[in-house]
Amino acid sequence: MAPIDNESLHKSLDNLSLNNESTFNNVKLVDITTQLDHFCSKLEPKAIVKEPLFDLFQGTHSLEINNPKLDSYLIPLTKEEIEFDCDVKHGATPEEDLKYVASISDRLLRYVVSWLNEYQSLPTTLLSCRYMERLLNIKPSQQQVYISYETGDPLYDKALASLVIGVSYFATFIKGLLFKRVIYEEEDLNFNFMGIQGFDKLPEQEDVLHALTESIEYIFKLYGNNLNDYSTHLINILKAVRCLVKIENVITKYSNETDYLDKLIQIATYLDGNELKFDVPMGSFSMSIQKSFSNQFPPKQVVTPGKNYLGLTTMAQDIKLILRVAEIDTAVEALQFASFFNKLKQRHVLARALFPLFLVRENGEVIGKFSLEDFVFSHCMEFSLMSAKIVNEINASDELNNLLSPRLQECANVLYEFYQNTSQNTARYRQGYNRQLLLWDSAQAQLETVEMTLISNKVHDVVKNNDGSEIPLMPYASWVFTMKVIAMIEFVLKGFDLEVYKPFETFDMYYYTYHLSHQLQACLDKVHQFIVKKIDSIHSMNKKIKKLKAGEKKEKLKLTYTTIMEEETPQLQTNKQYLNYLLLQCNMNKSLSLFQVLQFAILKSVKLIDNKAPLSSKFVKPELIHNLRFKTFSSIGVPELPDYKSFQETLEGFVIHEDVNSPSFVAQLERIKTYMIVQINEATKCIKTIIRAIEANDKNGEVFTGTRLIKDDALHYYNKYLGSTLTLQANLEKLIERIKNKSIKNDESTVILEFQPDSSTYFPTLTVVDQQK
Amino acid sequence: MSIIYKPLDINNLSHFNKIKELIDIDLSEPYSIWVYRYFLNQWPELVFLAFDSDNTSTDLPIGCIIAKSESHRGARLRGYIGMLAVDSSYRKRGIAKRLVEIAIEKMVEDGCDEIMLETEVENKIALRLYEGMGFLRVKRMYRYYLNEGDAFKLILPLTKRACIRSTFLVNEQGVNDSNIVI
Amino acid sequence: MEELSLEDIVGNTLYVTVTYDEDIVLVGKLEAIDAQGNLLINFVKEQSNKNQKSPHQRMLGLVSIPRDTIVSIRMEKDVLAKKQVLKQDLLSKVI
Repeated sequence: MAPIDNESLHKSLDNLSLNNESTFNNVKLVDITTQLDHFCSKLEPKAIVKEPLFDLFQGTHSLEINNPKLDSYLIPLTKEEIEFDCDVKHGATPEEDLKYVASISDRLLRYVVSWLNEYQSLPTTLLSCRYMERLLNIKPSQQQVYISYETGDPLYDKALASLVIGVSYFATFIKGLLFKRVIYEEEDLNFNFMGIQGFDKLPEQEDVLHALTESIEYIFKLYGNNLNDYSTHLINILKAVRCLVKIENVITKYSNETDYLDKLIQIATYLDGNELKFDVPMGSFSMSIQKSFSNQFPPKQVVTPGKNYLGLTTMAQDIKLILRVAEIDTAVEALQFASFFNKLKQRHVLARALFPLFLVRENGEVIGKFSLEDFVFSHCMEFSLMSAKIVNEINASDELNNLLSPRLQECANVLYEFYQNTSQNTARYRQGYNRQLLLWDSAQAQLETVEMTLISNKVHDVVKNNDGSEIPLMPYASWVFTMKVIAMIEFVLKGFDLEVYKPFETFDMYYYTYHLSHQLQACLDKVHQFIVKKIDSIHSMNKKIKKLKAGEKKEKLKLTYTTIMEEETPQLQTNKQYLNYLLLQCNMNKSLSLFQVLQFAILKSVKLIDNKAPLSSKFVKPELIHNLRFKTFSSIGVPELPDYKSFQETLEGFVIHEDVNSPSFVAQLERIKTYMIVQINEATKCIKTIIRAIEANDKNGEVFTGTRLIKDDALHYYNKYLGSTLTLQANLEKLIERIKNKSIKNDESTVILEFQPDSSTYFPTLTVVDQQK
Repeated sequence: MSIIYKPLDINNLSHFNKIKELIDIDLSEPYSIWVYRYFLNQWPELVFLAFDSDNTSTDLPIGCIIAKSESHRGARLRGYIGMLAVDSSYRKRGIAKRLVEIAIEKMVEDGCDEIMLETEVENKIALRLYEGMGFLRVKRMYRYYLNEGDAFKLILPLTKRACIRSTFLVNEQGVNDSNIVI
Repeated sequence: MEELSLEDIVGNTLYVTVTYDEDIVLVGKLEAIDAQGNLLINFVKEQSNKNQKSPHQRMLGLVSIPRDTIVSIRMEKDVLAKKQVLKQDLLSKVI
């Protein structure tokens, strides 16, 4: 590049006409409006001149000048809003000031709920409060936010200020959670802080709590025994905010203390029962912050908060719930806790954010007790690994250990992802599995390779296949396989809950669920058989000892027996019962899926539905659509995805091909119905056994569900399944009835997927409805 | 009444303004000029307009569809339907459907492997229209729109490539756009 | 500035006055411009000089400025001059 000398610089400046020069912020400017217009007029109409590295896609998210939907400058403000002053009292009398301070505080507390429970944005709720803006809007040079206004009245300067700071402190804590990527901006909540610096310069927690306490004491002192509705209300709100400020202890101190949460519930209940109606000072809540602060978002109206105090109860209860995970004793309990706590009902966003952080601590330890690697080991030991030969082998061999460690590390990563995913919002939860499946699949393949090495070294356990042949246990790979297939089933069934499938897809999805359950069952049977065999061999040891004559040999065997009885048998017994549970659960899904498959086949037999997208357009390609639906599974090694043809053939095999009016049709229908009722009865039996076990706290000696800490949710879940057995059967009866009395008209009737009350959303009914003409 | 369909003439500014008007009326999401510039100037051949040929008083479109097509993760060519709007006095005459068909035909011709779009879960009319053409709900997205509703992501598969995870397509092909240093 | 082109202007800081009823200048980097003269400006600073002692300003990010809202577009004199010199220099070398 040629250096620019002064002479040529001056020469070129001369070229610019001098009458269009001006100064702005001491910078000399030249007006180029006319020249730009001139340049543009020479462009092709479709041309865009842009910075080479700028992606025009970004432009689709831009604001726009003079566009009322996109220009915050155009926000109209009233005189009261423009002139609002936080540093003067707004009441005409002390009573009115109390009312005003109580009403502003009340609104702020409601806004916490609007923001977190009702997904409203920060500038349309908390940040619309001028008192909030006033304290948080600090100069860059200011070290810390002050907890005071300058009205001269402690009600504002102390009470309101401490409340505003308390709420801000809580908001900043939530901002921190967003940065930890456990919840997602916009989707789960919004922290559009309008570039306000004060959030990062708040006092310490202790000082905030102290200020709140002082405010409460001040009001008590001021009103003594003459507390009225307003002062009582204000005190309660200050107390509620004190509770909010303490919530961060869940992850700063990993505290599972719940006193303050109970307190919050109590206050919320009080406020809900003692609502006060009053106005805030004119202009104290406004859109003005959107107009005057850095703002990259379209203008939005300030929220009018409803009577939503009980939202705080939801929040507190959900946080209390997740804190119980601190009480887990075993990996299965952790697994079950994670599987159920957010399943039927999406938990409060704060509880969902805190769960993964509270479970797996900053140092990588699970509830501060085990490393993630130990956690993986526990999962395996509580499933298939207990008493397996491989365990001693690994302990004895560094070489083997080195081979296995990196693979288990990989499992630890997937397991971590599994736990994180359980607290995601309901839509993201399903997508999480989409990715996780590949990771489990790869982990399984790797572990199989390692375990094959052991097999070739003849150090492994075997179980007998149905045909009497021996198959290797492969305890690690079996555990991963189980995790994977359970995740696959969950991914498929969750699609029904999210209404991702159309009725025509129902056959494919339930048939695949049936197929997966079948594979899972085989694996669970294998592990179960191994455990039973181990337990038997331990028992036979005892018999053997009894038969032996007294002596060294007998004593030695006795010692071994005692050790095993103490160290292995209890866990083996629990594992057996846990496998019983998994088998029941698997069988439940398998039977209900088979039921749905057959329901679909009946509907196809009467030509009400087909498992292909309706050929209503030339773009519809049923096989492609089917394959797109199964894209997630197309790359999974085992269980292999059946091809399109086998789905079609299976369905055809179930369909009744005889004429609907023929007696043989009815006979076949009855036969299928009987078989379907068998499925319902089988599922009912499984579900009831599980429910009994949960109710008996896993102490009935047959089934171990590991749901001690999440009992209500688990019961609720299985009760809904129980509900489904009834609604599915009732729907079947109705269909058979209609077929028999010939009340179905193909041109008027159609099939929908219908969620039934008190039933599982994983098994909506395939209901025949008559379209209105 | 006869409706005729034409590709966009990007040089016609009054058409550009009318398209903007048709869409702004319909949509809750606020769009700036640059939303239209992004689509129309880069993929003018994927914009189609509907005109009422009986109405001689004006030559402005009464409906439009706006689309684009791009490589998706270097694995497949993905078409995307960005916007679709028909003047309210011309609805229920299959104009929207025809516009979608024309756009899909063009994308098929261009060799797209799939066509994607998003629509609100509550927008039953749009769902019926697209699902009737073979679009599949591939996933649900939580609170996707500014007006706070969930959305479905819909895909119409056009080739086998649409049914294979992009990770595996890239490996199979041995080419990944992200590896190409520009 | 006949010898300059739009490519020279794009990427530079522009000072845009729009049809607001007060003295506000939008300062930001020109990312794109279309044939109608609509601008897409990034890292926009909205600056009001109503109050000379403490000029109010805020950041708006990426902003579309339609041509019909524009009163004037200005560019830094020094930057413009350097562009021109470079261009002239280049031209003279080519010739």
